[in-house]
Amino acid sequence: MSDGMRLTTRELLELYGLDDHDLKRVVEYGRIVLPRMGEYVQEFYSWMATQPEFELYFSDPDRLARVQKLQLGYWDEFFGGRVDDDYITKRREVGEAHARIGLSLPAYFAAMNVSLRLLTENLYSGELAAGDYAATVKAISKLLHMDTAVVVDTFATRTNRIIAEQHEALLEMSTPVTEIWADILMLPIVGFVDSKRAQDIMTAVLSKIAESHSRFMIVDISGVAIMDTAVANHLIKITKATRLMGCICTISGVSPAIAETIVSLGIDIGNIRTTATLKDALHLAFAETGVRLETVK
Amino acid sequence: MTDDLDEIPRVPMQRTHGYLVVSLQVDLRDAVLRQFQSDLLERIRSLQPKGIILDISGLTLFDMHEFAILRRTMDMARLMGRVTVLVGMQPGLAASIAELDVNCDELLTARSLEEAFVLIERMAS
Repeated sequence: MSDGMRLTTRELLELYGLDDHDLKRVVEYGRIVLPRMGEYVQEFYSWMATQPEFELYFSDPDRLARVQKLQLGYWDEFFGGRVDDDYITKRREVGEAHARIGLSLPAYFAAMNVSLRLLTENLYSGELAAGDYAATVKAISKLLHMDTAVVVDTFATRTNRIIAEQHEALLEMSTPVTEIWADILMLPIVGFVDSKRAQDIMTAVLSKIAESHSRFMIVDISGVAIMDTAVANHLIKITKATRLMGCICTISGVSPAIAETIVSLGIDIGNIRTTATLKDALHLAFAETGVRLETVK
Repeated sequence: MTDDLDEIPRVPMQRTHGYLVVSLQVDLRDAVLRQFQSDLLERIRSLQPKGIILDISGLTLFDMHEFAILRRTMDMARLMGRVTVLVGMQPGLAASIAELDVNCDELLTARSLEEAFVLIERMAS
């Protein structure tokens, strides 16, 4: 969800069915448990110690102490009962912090679930009437779920942003056409080929051919992640265009898996020249340009 | 087309070392292409060239229809026993033809006139 689509504080409260009575119950319950938060911290971290993430994040005692202090602050706010924009912003910061250190969402959910159990069961010793207790636990659950949703939303937004950035970076470095020998150009294709990238590759290849007047083009596809009809069609178009410019194009790096896929999908590659390895393609090009390599002692 | 036959620009053609070199340097119109077609076939009959070289380095635009006419002209030349080689296609043109759903496997292309000469010799032998 983008920043623009985020719910306002009021909408969040409505969505999770939180009213002033609920918040009042949360505050009242806070009076019971807040003095006993030392116990909570102890039990929570003895649970955390059994988790695989614990070693990773809390091997440094200073860091552990800092996180524990933040956590106590978190519950102070939680039982403060004032859910305003400031409160939501702080929840978003919590999400950012967890995403930044790369904590997984399942681990976060598990931790929140354990906290809910500790706060409503372990720290409770029958101070409220049964009916009040049930309503209070319900109110706390609602607020806790809302908190978690805000954190998760922030988490997801951040993760999506990182993915988008990486995608961008990948596209930018995706078309390194190089002249590997006089008259021979080479382009290794690594990763995913979508139509945008195929377009970029085509432009890069053709302008390099026009500029260098090379006679041979080798497109190495050994690093292509997925071969399907769409990708094959993109490759066919690229070779077709290079040939129209008078350049002889070879597709190298056809692995057994790719060969199998192309044949079983019934893709007609026409008379495009393909080889299993880059070495084979280079030998072909050498033979046709009349280059002979000799080992000199 | 209401143009008089005289007003249609003629495509320049010249004979070099027994080859017919055609310079398609203006962006083509339907009428120009049709005039070119009959001119070319007539030249093949009168000059008996070894092969035809189409220099298209000046072309930047091409649509499917124009491309089809050109292909047909090349097919006709082949029926008269002459191969045609396309020389100097621009990147933009190559990309747009590749996007068209036409089979280009049979097309002969070269980067330069020299290469085209060699290609024609090889096809003829």
